[in-house]
Amino acid sequence: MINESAVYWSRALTELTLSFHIIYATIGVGVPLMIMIAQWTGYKKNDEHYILMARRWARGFVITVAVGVVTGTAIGLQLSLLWPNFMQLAGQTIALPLFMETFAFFFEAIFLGIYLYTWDRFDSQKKHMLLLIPVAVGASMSAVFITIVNAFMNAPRGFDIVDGELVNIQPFLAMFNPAMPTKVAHVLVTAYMTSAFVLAAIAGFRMLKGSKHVYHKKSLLLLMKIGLIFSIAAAVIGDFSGKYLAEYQPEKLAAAEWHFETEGKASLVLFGVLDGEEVKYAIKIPYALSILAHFNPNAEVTGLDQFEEEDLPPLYIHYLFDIMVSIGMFMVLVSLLYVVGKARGGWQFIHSRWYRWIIVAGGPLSIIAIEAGWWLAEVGRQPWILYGLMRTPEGATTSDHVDLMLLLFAGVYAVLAVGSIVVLVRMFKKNPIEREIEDRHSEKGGDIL
Amino acid sequence: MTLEILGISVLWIFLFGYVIVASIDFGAGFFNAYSLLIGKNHILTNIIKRYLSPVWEVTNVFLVFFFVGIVGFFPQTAFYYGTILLVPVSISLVLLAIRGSYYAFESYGTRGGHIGYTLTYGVAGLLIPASLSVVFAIAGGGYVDLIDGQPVLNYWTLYTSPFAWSIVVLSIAAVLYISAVFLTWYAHKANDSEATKLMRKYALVWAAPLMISALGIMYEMKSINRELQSYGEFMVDVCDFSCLIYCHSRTHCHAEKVRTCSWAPNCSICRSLLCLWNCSISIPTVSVLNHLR
Repeated sequence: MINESAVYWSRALTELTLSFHIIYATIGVGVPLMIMIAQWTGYKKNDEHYILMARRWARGFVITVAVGVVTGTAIGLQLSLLWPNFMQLAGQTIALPLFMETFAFFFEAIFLGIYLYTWDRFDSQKKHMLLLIPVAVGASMSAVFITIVNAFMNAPRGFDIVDGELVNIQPFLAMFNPAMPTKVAHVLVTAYMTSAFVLAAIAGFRMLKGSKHVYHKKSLLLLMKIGLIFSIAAAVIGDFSGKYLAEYQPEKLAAAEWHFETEGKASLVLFGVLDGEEVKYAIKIPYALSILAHFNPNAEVTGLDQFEEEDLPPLYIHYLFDIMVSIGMFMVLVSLLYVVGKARGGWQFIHSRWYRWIIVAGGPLSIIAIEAGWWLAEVGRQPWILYGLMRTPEGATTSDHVDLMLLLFAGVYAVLAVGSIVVLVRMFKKNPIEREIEDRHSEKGGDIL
Repeated sequence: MTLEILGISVLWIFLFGYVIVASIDFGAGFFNAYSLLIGKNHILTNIIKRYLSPVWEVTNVFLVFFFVGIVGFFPQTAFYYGTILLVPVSISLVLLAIRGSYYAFESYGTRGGHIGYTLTYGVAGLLIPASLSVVFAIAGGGYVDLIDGQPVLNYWTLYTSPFAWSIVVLSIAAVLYISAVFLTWYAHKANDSEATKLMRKYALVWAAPLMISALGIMYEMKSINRELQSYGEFMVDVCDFSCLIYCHSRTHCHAEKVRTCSWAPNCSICRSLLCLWNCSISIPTVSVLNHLR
């Protein structure tokens, strides 16, 4: 029995929760690494500004982490509430990574608590800095384990099917499924990249608003360097993801690239609009799809013609692919120009107001790229909730009132979004960097610097 | 030991951990808000904040361990409970989200506090046990119909059930009582005599509604004839009672400065063991009671 309206609203509510959670989750995964790098830089260079950077980021991070935790709890339970049939089938297999994810978070939370509590209480800066390692590791491991669950949904392995039930479960085989390496790596580096660009956007914004403090310049350059490294890494791993898809989920790749006919020397379609089966106004890069899929310009790439209509994801995921890739490439360019310009010294435009605005836009743009990437990953797996085994409508709840719950959660997320933004803005407006440095010096009698 | 027994033991530990830590946590948040309203926050806020700040994420982790674990060990429950609990648990989730984030907003986001945030998380925290305890009432049976093989929760029966409401009242009273008793002990440990006195007063005040609602539930259980129906609730009651008796004796000991309960020192492991022990006796007790009835 399938309750059509419950399926529809369950998908809507899951999409809403994930789309909201992923913003805070991405920041939650990436920012601890930024804090660690800033503090390490400060320690190495013996520069108080970097230490303060770590401190201020950590202060804001606690707020976003709280929202990340509660929305993470929500999606954790919504898996069972909205997709009870799916959890009945797969719950036993994915319980281990879910459990480990919680444990990784637990680990992170404990050390984060100690780190925050022991500011200025350690004699040695180094010991205090070491506390950040478990925080950053815990945050990243949470992402690893939760992405493993998603990878399992894309490439289920490690069990036998007897009478429609998964038996003889080998949890580690299930965890190390073929989708896992590229997916986990892509999620991690894009989280680091996005966090760097979001923090850079804040620094850029403060500079546009007239702050001349050298603190912002230092932070901007550091973040642009980090962002550059991870945005290049994201592109490289994205390329590997294409090869994974070509091998294991060819229809997902074909739909994302609007590749209708199976052919060799396939060209990559960028942008464009779809008119029936005709692609209009697109940029076609010859051989690029064959290279993306198989590392070989002549290789044959499976097209949509090889699949039944009912097994195909919706074709609009191509737009999501475009958004994700163009923003990613754009950010590589923005950070590359900034870092090279800084190193060469001659390029004045990177200090101009319009370039600052581009850097400010980079923060929200990166978040949009993350959203587009996840929608691509999730919608691209349709019609399956568990690839090849269970279709999405079969996994959904049959219970009524899902639409009402959607409204309820939409209200809560709105409250959390507004609340967290208000708190963060107030927190840093009341205590700008100039004042914080002044306060510290008056407390310490000016013996630093 | 079969996998089922192992699984349920692990789950009970998680649930028990959650019930104890969360009761104290939610109650503390409420008392903090209440003291702010009646202008006694100078006595309580300090001691409550000192306790609350390190535990808030840990509490949540116990809950997540529990619901991840139950799906892992008993995948069938995902189907039955997942389907029928959509609305009740969604309400709990909303409250948990408000409580967790506003707690963080208040304690990390403001200097010197924010009365609106404090009240928000204090009240949300008190409603969470009320909304979660509905699960126990539903688990007892009688509120779910099987239609075409699909479980459907009968909201009206649940909403008009005095039994479910008694459980809700009990959960709130128990949270306030357990939390007050714990904070009495905690304030006493911190040599804060004024806070100790005030918390002790709250503990005594909340003991009465607690006992009345617990007795009410026992009475209602008598009138319900289905075999095993109240098994779960009864266990919860017994466990709650064991906590109460224990906490109470402890408060008493400390208040009188007589350490007669030396077998249960200030050690959380002993406390948990005691609770589990009570749990395990309650199982045969309930079976016997059921047969006698």
